[in-house]
Amino acid sequence: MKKIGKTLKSACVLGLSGALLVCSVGCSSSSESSGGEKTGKKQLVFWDKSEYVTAYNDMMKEKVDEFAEKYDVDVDYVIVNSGDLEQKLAAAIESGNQPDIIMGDNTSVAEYIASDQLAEVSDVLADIDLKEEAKPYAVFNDTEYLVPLSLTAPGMFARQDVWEEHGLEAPKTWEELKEQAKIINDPDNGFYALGLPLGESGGGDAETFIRTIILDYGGEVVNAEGEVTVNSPEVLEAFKFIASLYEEGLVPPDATTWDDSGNNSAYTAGTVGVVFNSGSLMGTLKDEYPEIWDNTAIFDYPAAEEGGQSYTLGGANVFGIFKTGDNTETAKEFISYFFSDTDFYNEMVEAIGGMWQPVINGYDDTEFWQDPDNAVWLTAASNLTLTTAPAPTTDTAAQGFSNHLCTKALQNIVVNGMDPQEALDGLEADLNELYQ
Amino acid sequence: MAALTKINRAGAQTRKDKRLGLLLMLPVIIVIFGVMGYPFLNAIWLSFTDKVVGGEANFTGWDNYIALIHDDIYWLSLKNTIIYTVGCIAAKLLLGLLLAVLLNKSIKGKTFFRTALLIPWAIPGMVAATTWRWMYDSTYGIINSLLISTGLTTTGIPWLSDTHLTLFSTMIVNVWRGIPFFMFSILGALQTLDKQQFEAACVDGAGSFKQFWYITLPAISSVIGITTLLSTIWTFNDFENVWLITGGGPVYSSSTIPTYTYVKAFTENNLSGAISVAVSVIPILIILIIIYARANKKSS
Repeated sequence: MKKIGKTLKSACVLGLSGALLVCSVGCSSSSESSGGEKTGKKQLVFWDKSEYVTAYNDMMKEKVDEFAEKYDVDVDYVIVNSGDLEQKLAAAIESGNQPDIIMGDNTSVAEYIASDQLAEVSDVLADIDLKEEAKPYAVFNDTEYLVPLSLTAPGMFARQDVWEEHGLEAPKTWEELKEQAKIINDPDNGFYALGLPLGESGGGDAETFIRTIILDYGGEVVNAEGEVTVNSPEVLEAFKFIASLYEEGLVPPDATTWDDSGNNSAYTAGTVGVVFNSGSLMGTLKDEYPEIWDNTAIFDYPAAEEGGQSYTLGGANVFGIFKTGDNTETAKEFISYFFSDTDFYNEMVEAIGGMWQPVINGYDDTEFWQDPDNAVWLTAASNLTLTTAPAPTTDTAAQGFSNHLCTKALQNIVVNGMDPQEALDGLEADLNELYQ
Repeated sequence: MAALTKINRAGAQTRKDKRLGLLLMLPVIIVIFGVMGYPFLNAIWLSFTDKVVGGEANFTGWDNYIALIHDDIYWLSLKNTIIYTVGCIAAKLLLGLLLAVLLNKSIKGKTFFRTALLIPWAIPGMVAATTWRWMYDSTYGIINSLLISTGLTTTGIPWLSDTHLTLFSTMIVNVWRGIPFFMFSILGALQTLDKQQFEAACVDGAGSFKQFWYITLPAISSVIGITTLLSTIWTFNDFENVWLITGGGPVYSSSTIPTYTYVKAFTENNLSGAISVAVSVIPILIILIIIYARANKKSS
């Protein structure tokens, strides 16, 4: 009897331990069966950015399915909210389950170059007829790591009705914009002239704007030789100018915590007169706020002085291929396949409605891009400058931009009342630490 | 002699039972260690390295912690986290207790109020935070609009831009969302109290306050204790609320340990630095968990 009891107990223990073992083996065997080894079929995991205009993701899915069928590849097409991309990728990379291709904005994707995750793509780019203005977005550390998909030039959205009401013309210089802003500013009635975000949690609108003014004023954050040159009279002047816009109440007070959606929300709510934004705002206005769109003009970017150089800083959407993934070659084949149908590519860019500008030659004279509403974006894209310019495009430069160091320095002046020179000294120290 | 043999046998049987118990628990222990223990130990190890996402982890000793000691933003975030946690818990406890006592009385529309007061708890945190952000807006927010239209202020209050106010603004939202948890926990405890004690106290001449202080409060103290501890742990780790309302800004004025960890990990791409921030507050959380475990044991 005792023996039977002992045997039963042992059986229980073995059973439970066995169940655990089976479970773990089961888990691994199921993942194996989902891999391509057994069937011999090629695999591809593609993480794509969720775009404001759903036509993009629909069309990309169509192309992915076409590729999958034609080349007999199992493609896992995953649409990821752009705000979640970094966190999800970090988890995927650390667990060794990184996708084969990602699509996102150039500064975010470039962050994975530093950790040696991305594959060189010169062979893919060799077959793509890239526009000159798109080429810099492919290169990092003197090597081609990224495949540009579209340029995303920003524009200066202005409430034309307000400008006309006060008999004002489009400003030619930043100082003129400020003078006009003083005229149209009406905070007592909930209307501020300028919707300029200054929160550090956004995707980079604030940092891009600040760096635009710095370049216009003749300054540089980091020079072409990769030396930190931010502590200069030109940058100091640019900082003082930007800070004055906030200090003189021309920007809503909450803008110091706005992320990249803050200026969009304020403009669509009709509470600000000017915002600097990509064409995504145009799409929103056309679809959801036609009365505001009808009263909106896209002004040219002002310069520091009349006739002076005016920069338009902006980014691009790019593909990155993980060399640490299992299907690097298939990923390259897909991108080559995607760009081989240039008519489809153009159709896709046009379907997005102007907020994306093409990176390949040959489509600038279509009916769509000849429309004045869209032509303005094409012009902006043709003058587009990298957000880290004139610094060499390195992962350090990308990190410097992503850390929003200029934004934080400006916040110190505007929010904490710090002396601009002191803020600049701090910024220089932070940049030096990064570049060391 | 026979008795001694019996005792020895009983002892051997007890040891066997213990061994069997341990053996039966082994699968669960392995699963728990795999799911929680290993990642936890790995995180502690990574905090002593120079790990970035996708990069190799090289041992750097105490470098990350030494950097934290000299990091003003870390200390500001810790201070903010303590203010946030203590302030929110105190407010949630007081208001939750007050509302629970009120709802325990025979008042008209009790069911309606109970349902209505549950809404903040039921709303997803992201929705609540985004809505409050809109309400706080200095230009088109309803809060300033109401304050101005009722003459309470002449100009809008900069809820999200004044560095002295931003943390307070996020605390209001946390308190608003957290009151129902306290209220319903305490209400549940109140409903188990024996009415005869109060009748007896009444006969002895005890007023409402004395009844509350000497009968109600001691009887529900264990529930209050556990509710407070659980909520303290959640509030201490609250990321979503602060991040969505202020992003920890402006200039880190509302930065807390969870938001600073996020910034270090995903904005600065400094994984080991971020983990060291998170690990640095583990002793505080362990103390809270030990207190919770003891309180739970006592109450059960």
